[in-house]
Amino acid sequence: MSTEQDHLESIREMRNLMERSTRYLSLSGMAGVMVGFIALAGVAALLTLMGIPIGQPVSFIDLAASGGREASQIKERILIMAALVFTLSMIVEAVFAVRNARKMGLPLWDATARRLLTALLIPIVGGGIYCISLLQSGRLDDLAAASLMFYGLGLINAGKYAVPDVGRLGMAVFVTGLAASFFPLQAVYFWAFGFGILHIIYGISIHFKHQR
Amino acid sequence: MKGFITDFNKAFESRIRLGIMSILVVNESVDFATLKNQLQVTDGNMASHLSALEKLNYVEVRKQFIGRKPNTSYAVTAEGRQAFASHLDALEKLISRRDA
Repeated sequence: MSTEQDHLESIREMRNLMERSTRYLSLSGMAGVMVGFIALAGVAALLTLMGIPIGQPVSFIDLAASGGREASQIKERILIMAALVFTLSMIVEAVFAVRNARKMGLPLWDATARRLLTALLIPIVGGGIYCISLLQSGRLDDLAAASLMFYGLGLINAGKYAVPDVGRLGMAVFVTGLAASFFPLQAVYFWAFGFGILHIIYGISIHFKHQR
Repeated sequence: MKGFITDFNKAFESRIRLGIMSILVVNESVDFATLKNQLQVTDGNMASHLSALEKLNYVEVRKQFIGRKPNTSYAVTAEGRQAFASHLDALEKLISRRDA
């Protein structure tokens, strides 16, 4: 085994093994795109249900304080929308990951999947709890920024165990969250951008880069 | 000049051993089944390469129970990491030499 070709070949193989054994590669681009549309639909549904024209500045705090029939339901509606978007997104991601793993002949659940999920879930679960406290204490206009920031940090953390694009998406979502915190009346549109548009862009780029 | 071929570590002449080392240097510890799946080799083959590396003190074995199932995982030792790094250096020298 000592021709140059052999050595180059074994180096390629080693690099491949290092990559495959540390990074989870079955995430799907199509799922990212669908998650983006789910988030956009969620925001549109929430605003429509409350009779707010899309594009108009929104203060959920003022709405809740305005009294009336709608006001009492605002917290519930936000919670239901968030829970629906989150659950649907997880299902879509999982279904596509199963398909992808099968197609690429990779194990669906292994050490890399476990590490990826742990890295992602620590900031996300923490963020979820924090958002519940915001919701409970009525700081409704901080929700969008907080959920964006925690989700972004989760993705940055998870980026080490997936394709590097995940980390870059995380960075973009995190910055969007920071920006949203300065514009509470527009925060819901930052949220639509961060969870909707950015996911769609990321999904398309992943799809063409890694899955042909 | 010392022949760089002599820097090649005989222990790493097999592709499978190189593969095992590659996986172990980037992971804290890896269990037997995962190694076997990643490298696509049989149990017996895997075991013999692992025990060779273990004898050289390049990898260490960690046995533990997950629930009731015994689980054997492997980790690279400091010595193994060192040996693997010098092997890669030798490879690199060889290739950059041919290119020059």
